[in-house]
Amino acid sequence: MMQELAMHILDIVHNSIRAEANSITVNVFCKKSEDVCGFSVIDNGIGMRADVLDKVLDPFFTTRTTRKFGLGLPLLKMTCTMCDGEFSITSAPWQKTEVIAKMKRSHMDTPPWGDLAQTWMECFHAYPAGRLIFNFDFDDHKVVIDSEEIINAIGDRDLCHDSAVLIQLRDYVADQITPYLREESYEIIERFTAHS
Amino acid sequence: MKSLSDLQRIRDEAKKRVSMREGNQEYRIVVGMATCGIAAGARPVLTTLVEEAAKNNYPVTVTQTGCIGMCTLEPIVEVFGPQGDKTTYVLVDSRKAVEILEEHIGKGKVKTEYTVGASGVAL
Repeated sequence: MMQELAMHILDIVHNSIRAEANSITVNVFCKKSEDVCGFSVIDNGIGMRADVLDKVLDPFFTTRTTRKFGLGLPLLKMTCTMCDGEFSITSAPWQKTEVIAKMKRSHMDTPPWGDLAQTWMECFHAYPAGRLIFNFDFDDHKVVIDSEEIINAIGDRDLCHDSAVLIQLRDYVADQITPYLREESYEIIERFTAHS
Repeated sequence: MKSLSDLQRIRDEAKKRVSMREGNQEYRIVVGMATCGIAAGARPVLTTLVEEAAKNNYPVTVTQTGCIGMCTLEPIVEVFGPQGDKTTYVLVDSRKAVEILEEHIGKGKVKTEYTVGASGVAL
């Protein structure tokens, strides 16, 4: 399984990129009051017919031809179920395909966030043609990273994929979200020390 | 970088760097980043490649792809040379990624021991 939620996010976003979406929205959320955390990925790509949608959670189903398994969605569903959460996937072809993954925030097995700024960079890097919006919603700490804004500010789409620019953009995103995540990891440490 | 207004400066720096290495022949590096790649550790490999390429200003563009088809050999890194020749490196980690950049991109010498041909797997 994936060790971090950041890896799951990257994996699911790759599905959206392959679905030829021209817009992908990722919502990353954590609500202490409701004891829930997770993410959703919404795209307007090719989508799936009802009969395909029924099969996507079967690990032995994939549309690709390079190998016989498609494991991304089943793995994510497993993580959600294991952590007292919910998983859902809905699709209207060429309109909206939405994957929602929720976990109980205080559950022992809920994976840590991992490097979300890194995941943002990898998604942005893998998806040069479309619009990628990341909404981070951590209780009252909200951050929106919109790829259009970044590309407009730089003024050159090709330069956005220069290695040095990517690193600086990643650090910018990290600056925006790290203060909250640091608080979050202190809390997790406290929770585990309280248990032992 | 603290705000989006700094992007202007970043752009100017990047333009300067890109024009500096113009004339050098460009390599393209492709990293497999499907479920199999991610689970096998392709993320740190991609990060290392991007960071090292930036640090040393190598004439290279790093890109991602999905499943390359040899999941047991992930992380897989493909290097496309200026003449379109392809070298496939398998079971790559961050350390190997640095060596591949230094040897293959830096000196133009294929790092034979990390290639799929040297892995001993019958294809």
